[in-house]
Amino acid sequence: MGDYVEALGLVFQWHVLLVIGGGTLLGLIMGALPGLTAAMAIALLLPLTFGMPPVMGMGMLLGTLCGAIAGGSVSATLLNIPGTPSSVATTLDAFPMARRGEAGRALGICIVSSFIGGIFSAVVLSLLAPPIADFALRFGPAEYFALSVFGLVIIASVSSKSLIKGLVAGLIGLLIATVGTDPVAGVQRYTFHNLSLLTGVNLLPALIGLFAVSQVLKDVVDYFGPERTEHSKNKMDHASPRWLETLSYWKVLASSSVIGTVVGAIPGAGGSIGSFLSYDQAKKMSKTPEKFGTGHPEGIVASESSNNALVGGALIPMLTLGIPGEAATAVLMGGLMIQGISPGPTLFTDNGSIIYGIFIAFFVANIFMLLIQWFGIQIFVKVLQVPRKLLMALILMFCVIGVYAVDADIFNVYLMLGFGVLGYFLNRYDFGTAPVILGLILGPIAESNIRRALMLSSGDWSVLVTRPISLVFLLVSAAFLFFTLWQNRRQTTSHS
Amino acid sequence: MKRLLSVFGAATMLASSMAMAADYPSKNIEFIVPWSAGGGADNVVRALQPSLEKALGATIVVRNLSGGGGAVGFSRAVASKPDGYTVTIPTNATFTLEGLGNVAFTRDDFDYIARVLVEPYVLAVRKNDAWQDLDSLSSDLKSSDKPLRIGASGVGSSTHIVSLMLGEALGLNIEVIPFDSGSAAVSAAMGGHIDGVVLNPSEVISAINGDRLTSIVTTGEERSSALPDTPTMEESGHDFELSQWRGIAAPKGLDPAIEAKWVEAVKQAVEDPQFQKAARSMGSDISPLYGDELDQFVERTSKPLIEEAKAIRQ
Amino acid sequence: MVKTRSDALFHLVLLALAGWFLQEAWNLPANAAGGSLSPAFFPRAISSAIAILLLISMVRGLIAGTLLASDASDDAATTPGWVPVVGWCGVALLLVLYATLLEPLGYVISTALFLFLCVAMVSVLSRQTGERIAIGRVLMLALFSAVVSVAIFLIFSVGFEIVLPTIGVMGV
Repeated sequence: MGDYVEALGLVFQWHVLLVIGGGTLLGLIMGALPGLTAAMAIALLLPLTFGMPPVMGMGMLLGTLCGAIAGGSVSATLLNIPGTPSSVATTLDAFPMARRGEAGRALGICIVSSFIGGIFSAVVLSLLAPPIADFALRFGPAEYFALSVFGLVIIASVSSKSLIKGLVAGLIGLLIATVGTDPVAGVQRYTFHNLSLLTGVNLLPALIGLFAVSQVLKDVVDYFGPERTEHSKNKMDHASPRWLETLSYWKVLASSSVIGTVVGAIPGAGGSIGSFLSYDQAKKMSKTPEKFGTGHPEGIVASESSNNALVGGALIPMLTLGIPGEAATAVLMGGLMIQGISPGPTLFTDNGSIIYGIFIAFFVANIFMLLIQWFGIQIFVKVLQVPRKLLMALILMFCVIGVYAVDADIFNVYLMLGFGVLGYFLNRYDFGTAPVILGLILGPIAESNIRRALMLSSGDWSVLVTRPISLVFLLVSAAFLFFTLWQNRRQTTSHS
Repeated sequence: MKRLLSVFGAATMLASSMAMAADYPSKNIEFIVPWSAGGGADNVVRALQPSLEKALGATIVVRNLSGGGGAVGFSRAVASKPDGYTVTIPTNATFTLEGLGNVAFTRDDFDYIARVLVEPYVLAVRKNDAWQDLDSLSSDLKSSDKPLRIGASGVGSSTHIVSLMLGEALGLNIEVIPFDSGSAAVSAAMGGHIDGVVLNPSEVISAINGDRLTSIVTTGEERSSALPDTPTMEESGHDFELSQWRGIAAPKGLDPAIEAKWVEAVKQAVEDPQFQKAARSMGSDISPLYGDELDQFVERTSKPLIEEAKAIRQ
Repeated sequence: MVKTRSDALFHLVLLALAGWFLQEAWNLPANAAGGSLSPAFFPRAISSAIAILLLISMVRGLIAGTLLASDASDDAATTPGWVPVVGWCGVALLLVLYATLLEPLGYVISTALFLFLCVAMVSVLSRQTGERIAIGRVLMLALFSAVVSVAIFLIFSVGFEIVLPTIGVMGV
């Protein structure tokens, strides 16, 4: 308790608050620009923290992380550019809603949902971190494989138009995911002596190509269509946070925040699929599943609340075990270690006031995120008033610079173009692009872990069903698959 | 006449190169980091950057070229002009990439300027009462006839190769399971899904301090400052010494005068208390090495790594 | 979405790609250590599954009559049918050009060129017949492209410390 009081004193000083707010603002800006990832934003600010006390430095970096994740949903909503895999699910409903002239509403729901998701995960982080970390450790290769199977079942749920075509798209993602050095034997697959492909197809060019570039290519065609207009034909709605509307989906908010936090705590796998899992869950619980994908508020609430709950979740294994789940938390941990603090169980006993200070700073960062977006929303929606032909060119320009910035590798830009063309045709012929991304994310997890699991069991497949967590995931996957098929069938029969 | 011309030509070339060395550095220096921002190597470069800039009197631009597990960045560095305005950070990965045969460069394509940090490899195993130290571990394994399942940070990574070499040196049946990263391997070991890991101290220190893993042996010349209680292989009676290292290298053909300037700058930079603090907290030991001693170190370290990596390829 | 003959064509293209991946996968080593799966297992299994599903999808399309249905033409369209196709190909080509020139010409010049050409092409293609191209607007566009590319360059390289390609003249 004394630690908490001391920690409050560490955070609530005007210069500490100022620095957290500044970090959040920068994170928001960088997150909203395609290609600039949360990890890059944190790495950029990292040298500044060397001279700061630990709580102040970590507070700034946590603010940057929260801001970057929230900023990603702005570009996902307005321009269909998901900056991270976790905002792909946001594009599914937020972009169609923004397209029909309700950009203010879409962003308003995003802001409130991400705030609630973030605060929920902050509470869980400060109360339940050690037991959740222990749960995360029970994930071995067999469990990771089962989790990825569970994720792949979502393909059936996001391919609403044609199940077979959706499956084909998901398999295309899985196939592209096999490009690169194979994770267990080190064999080159489909690399053709191209150094850039040695570690596989980079996810960001694929994301931006499949979503943003393909969308612009479609817009170019529509631009010459019969209903040509320079601006969106619908009048822009009022842009402000939608508190009541968001809270009216309290069931979705609660389940998605829980899923986001817990799945986010599983290192390596959680970050990218948590929001998909929540989206899928919300669709299954919904009375109107057929509205998902057409600009339905429940879909935005599900994806966004879990998206920001993932941040708190990802901090759990990092702080309690010293295991960073993905790039952004890895940089964060680097920052902590440079401060001379090594994360892990000892952090709680030796540096009590610092760890509680970090928790409080995370709360504060979420509040700043809300405030900055509250004021920023008016500016964000102005983007849509740019004339369409200029906007198309500018989006493409941002896609190119963002993808180039990742590795300073021009090959990624060509890769993005290829994905853009592929995505355009996949959308045109109803295959969809979201399943491709799911396949791309889950493919490597599924393949490397089943192969590791079989290495550990000397080729005995029964490990998948003798281990309880793995068995549960596989059974639930099967149940969900049948449920989705049944839901689809009911939908099609009620339509005809 | 021809001869005179060529002498003249050589003289002007020499003069111009001397002039180049004299006013070096006259523009920004590009520091290629072949991994993404926030990785171990990137942290080292960014910690060194301010004091190196002060010592050299030039701006250093850090450029992360992270494709192909280091292959893209190193290839780009080798292909650039050896004028001292492009440098990179060599590590054991430079050698394992060559051994695995995916890249066109070799260890001889670099001029090694300095070694800055070393980190040994450490064998750490999951909690098990029978595995307290090297002796109890090997006698338990020999009596049970089971392989020791060791997680490495990636297929063909130096941790993968060192795990295999350790198995040979200790006479243990080690089976290497490659993971996607060091932290993924640590978390599998903490969860008891594998028996242990061979990684660098910075990656396992949290787990060891948290009493979830036991460190058995390190491979350095001396004990690691991060793990002062863990004996080295030499101390345990095995002739085996191999460390991960991080330094500075330029493409082959660097002017000795420019190299000398760099060596001076690195000597100043490693004295910087801010850098020393950062190195300590990253679990690395500052152990600078230059000139011939460095070349011997590179020779000694690269040979076994390249050979063993070639063997994996089969 | 209008189903066209190209639905069948796209199926065939994907089928060919899957076949190519499958054939390449046949050259991968198929032996695996320790009873695990081989490096070739996943590529082979996935590309075969894609091929089978595509065939099923084509058969279903044939039965439903959507696969080979011809394009429903838009009577209301004021622009000729080739214009969107040219626009689409033009944008795609400009992107390839942009990527090719990015490193040789540096970021600022290539970006300004891309913005100018991209907007100009769309404007020219969407121009009503008889409408004239005003010199003033062309100059405005050129100015806009130049200002945007310089501004973005400064924000990214100075603000975010991201190294962008330059040609080394005046820092751009």
